[in-house]
Amino acid sequence: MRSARRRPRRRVEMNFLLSFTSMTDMFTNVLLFLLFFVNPATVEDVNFALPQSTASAVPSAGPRLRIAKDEIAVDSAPVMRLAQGQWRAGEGSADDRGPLVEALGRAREKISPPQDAPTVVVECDEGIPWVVLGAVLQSAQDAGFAQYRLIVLGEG
Amino acid sequence: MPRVSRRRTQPDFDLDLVPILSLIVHLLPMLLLIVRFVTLAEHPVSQPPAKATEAPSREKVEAQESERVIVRATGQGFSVSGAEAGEVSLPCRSTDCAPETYDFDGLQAALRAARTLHPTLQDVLVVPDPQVPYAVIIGVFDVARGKKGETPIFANPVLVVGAPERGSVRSGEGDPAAPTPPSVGP
Repeated sequence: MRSARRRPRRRVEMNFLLSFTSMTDMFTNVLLFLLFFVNPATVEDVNFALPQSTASAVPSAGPRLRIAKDEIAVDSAPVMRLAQGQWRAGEGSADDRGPLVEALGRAREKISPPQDAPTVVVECDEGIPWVVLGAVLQSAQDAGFAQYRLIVLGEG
Repeated sequence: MPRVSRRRTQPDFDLDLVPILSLIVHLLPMLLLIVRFVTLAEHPVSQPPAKATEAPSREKVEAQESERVIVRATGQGFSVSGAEAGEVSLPCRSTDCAPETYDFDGLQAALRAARTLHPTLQDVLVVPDPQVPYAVIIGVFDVARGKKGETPIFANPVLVVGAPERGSVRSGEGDPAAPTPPSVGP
C-alpha cells in the first residue's frame, strides 16, 4: 500500500524544463520581423520625411536615389552631403555633382535586363527645395536615366 | 528525515506562463500601434524625348504659351497661365508661405477652367522657383492628377526648369543663379 501511494506522486512531480532560449529567440525574430519587414517606413528619421500625397500607383523597383536633409545616397550608399536640405557652401555646381553622376551611372549599369528608358526611384524629403532636387534630377538625366518615380506617402 | 530532505531538493517546478504570455500579448499590440503603417505610392515623371538645343523664336514661344497650361510655384503662391486670358494669381493664405498655406483649392479650380479651354491637352507644365519645397511640387501633381478613382484634370504634369521669366517657359531656361535643373517636359 505504501509503495502504491508513492508511485503516482512521483509521476506528477516531474521536472519541467522550459527552453527559454528558444522562446527568446522566437520572440526576437517576431519583433525584428515586425519592425523591419512589415513596413519599410518604420524608423523615424529626423532628416527624412516623405511628403503626403493622393497618389495611388504602386512604387516600382529600380535604383534608389534618396535625398535627405543631410545627404544624398544612391542605393543606400552616401554620395554627397547636404546642410539642412541645402547645398553646402560652394557646392551644387555641375562639377561638384560629378560623383553623384558616376554613382548613378553605376546604378544604371546594374539594371538587369537593360531598359530602353531607365527609371530611377527618387525618395526625397518633403522640405528639399527645387534648387537641390532639380539639380539632382539633372544629374540622374546626365547619368542616362530617362524616367523618375517620385516616392510619396499614399493615403493607405 | 532523509525523505523530507529529498522532497526539498526536488521541488515542484510549476512555471507560471501567464505573466510571460501577458507580457507578449501587451507588447505586440503596443508595437503594432507604435509602428507607423503607411502606404508608399509614386508619381511617375517622364523626360522629354528630345531637348531644346536652341532658343525658339518669340512668335513660337508665344504660340506655345497659348497652347500650354503652366503652373508656376513661387515663394508667394501659384500663378496659372492658360486657364483664362492672362494669368491667374493664387497667393498663399498667409504672408509666411509654408506648404500648407498654398492655395491648392484655387489651383484646382484654375486647372479645371484650363481643362475646359484645352480639352485635348494632357500636359501641365510645373515651374517651381528654386526655393519651393518638394512637398509643394507633389501637391501640384496631386491636384493635376486627382485622387484615386477621379478623372485626372491633367494626367501628365511635367516639371520644367527653374524659375523662368514670363513668356520664356521652355526647356533649358531658368534662374541663372540656380544650378541647372532637369528639363523635363512633354
